[in-house]
Amino acid sequence: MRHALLGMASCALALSLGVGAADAADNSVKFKATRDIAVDSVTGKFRKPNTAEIEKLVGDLRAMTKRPVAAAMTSTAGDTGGITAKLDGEFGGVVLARPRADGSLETRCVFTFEEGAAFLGLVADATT
Amino acid sequence: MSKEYSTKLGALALSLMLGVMAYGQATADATIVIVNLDGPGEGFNDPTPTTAVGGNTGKTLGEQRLIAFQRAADIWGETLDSNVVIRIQAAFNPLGPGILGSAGAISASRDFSGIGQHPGAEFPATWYGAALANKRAGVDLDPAGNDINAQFSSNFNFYLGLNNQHGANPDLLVVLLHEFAHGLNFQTFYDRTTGVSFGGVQFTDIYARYLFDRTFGLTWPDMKKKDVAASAINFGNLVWSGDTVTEAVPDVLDFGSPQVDVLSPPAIARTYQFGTAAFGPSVGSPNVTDPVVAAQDAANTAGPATTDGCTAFTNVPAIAGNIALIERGTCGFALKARNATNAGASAVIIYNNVANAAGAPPGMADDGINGAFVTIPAVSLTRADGLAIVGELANGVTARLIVDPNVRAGADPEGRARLYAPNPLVGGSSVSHYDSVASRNLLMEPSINPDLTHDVSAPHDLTHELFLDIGWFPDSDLDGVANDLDSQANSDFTPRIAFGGIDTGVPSQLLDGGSTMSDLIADVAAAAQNDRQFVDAVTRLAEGWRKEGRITQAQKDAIVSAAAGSKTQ
Repeated sequence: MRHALLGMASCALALSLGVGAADAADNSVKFKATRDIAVDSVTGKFRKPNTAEIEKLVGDLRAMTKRPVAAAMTSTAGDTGGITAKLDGEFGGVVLARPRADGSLETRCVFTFEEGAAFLGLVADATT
Repeated sequence: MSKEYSTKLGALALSLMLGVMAYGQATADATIVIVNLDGPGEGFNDPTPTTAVGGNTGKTLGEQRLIAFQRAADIWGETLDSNVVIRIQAAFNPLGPGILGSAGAISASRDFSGIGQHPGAEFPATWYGAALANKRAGVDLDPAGNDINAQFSSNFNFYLGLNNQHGANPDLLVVLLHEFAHGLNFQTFYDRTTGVSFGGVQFTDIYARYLFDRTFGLTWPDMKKKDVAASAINFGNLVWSGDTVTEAVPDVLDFGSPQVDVLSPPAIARTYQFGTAAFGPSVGSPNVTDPVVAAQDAANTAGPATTDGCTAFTNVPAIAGNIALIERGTCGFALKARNATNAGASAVIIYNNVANAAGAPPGMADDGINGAFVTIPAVSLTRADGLAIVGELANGVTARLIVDPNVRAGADPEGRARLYAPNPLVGGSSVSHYDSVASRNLLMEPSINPDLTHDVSAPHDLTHELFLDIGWFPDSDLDGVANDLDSQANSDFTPRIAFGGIDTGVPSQLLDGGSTMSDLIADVAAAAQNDRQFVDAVTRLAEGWRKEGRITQAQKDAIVSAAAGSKTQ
């Protein structure tokens, strides 16, 4: 519980500093990493992700946290008289992990890009 | 009753019973299948040789992944009942760093009726995730599609064993249980920032129907959208109203809820959302109730403000024996708390600075140096809450940092499970998880804690109970009638009515209330004292079915004839 509380709070903090809803929605926004979340293939130790890894991370996180627009959903009336809307998994939870100071991993299930970026230490890069 | 007759009827009853047992063994629970979407040589098909780990006997990495997936599916399949196969399409892909995986429902349905005895949707204009909707409809509402989508990282080193001995690595099985649960409808489809449900304000979802806000005294479907948005960040006051979860809370959650309260002055007296520290004693060790005093220190290079607590306090006499109030920033949390300890404070509250004005109460990390010297409880507050206290200091502020022994950790004072509703909104993590203050730790908290087991029901967990509340009703014979309403919870679904070895050729139908024709015949066989009573009772049953139009005269005659014939065998 204690670690959970810590994670919850620090996550929200990063959110306030790093990625707002506007940044999250803007595909042109570039991000930079502030946390060591990538595992170095040579040393096996955590390090900050490089540019290509950040782009991959941002792309995957955007795709996994995409939310369906109801009006655009394919809705069909079934034999039972109901309406079925395709979500295509877009309401899914995304599990993330980052290392703690002691080297253990802290995990978090998120539903939005903003929270995921905050948890993983991605911030909008104002230098590019 | 003669011994011979008793034996004969007993054999008949046994043959009917065996039919029931065979059916139960074959189809009870839910069948969840993993649909492998990986191509050759990747993901589930990765041929890298591996050795068995923790009961996972797969000989390749791909096999072990699939075994772990299927085990998670089986745990939910053994827990839930559905006559419709649940299909989870799954793949392992090289995801970005830090991403372990994802899962969610592929479709949602509303306003559907049920086939046969299945109840359909319990409420109108209410979305159900695919698997739950299918269960209640008794038929696959989207037969061309799968029900849950799952994608996990092939880059990540999960523990693939099945025995929960995962050490420092995340246990894939637990992660899958958590994510599959979201796909099984442990989630709302609301946009928590706007308070609008998927599809528009005229709709809600089955999960949201049980979200009760203690401040508004309402559940989400009865609230205005702006109030729903406020409820999503109403820390400590968003609770689950379902009876099954509430009844199980005493078996799962421990007494002793940590809390931070301001007791006076009345203008700011309430319970506050707080963050905890990774150093020093926990809140409640010991309980502290004392005046709050703002710490003052020199404005210097170590900390430019007199409120940052980065150097030795200059108002030690005022601080001693009281709760020190410090502003965040410049130096680490642990150093501030160490300085408060040195000043004789009974506890320390650190509130967010301007740079973190919109942030939630932070979790306070140790710096590896100062934390060891902190001997008092430390908590963090939002900037708004901190400034509210600052604004009343002149009037005298008394606060307490306690563990309330009468409230269960993760429940409200009325014993209802709390949902995760941090303020400010922490993305979509909120609401669709239990509160992270729960103790014991729960599967569906936002963090997947290392001490979780693979048991999803009380007294180990509350996930199954929430599923029961939202409509995953127990249905042992999968006839669509909930066990507690079913006149025969383990019906005989033998296709045709038979008496011992005599097949009547008459289809055995499922009747209102959850019994089949074969069930009722078995009942009269058990109650009959002799052959005549048995045949007479079967005749009355068959005549009743004929009058109801369920069977023809010829079918009735076949049933009666077979009943009479069976007594002479």
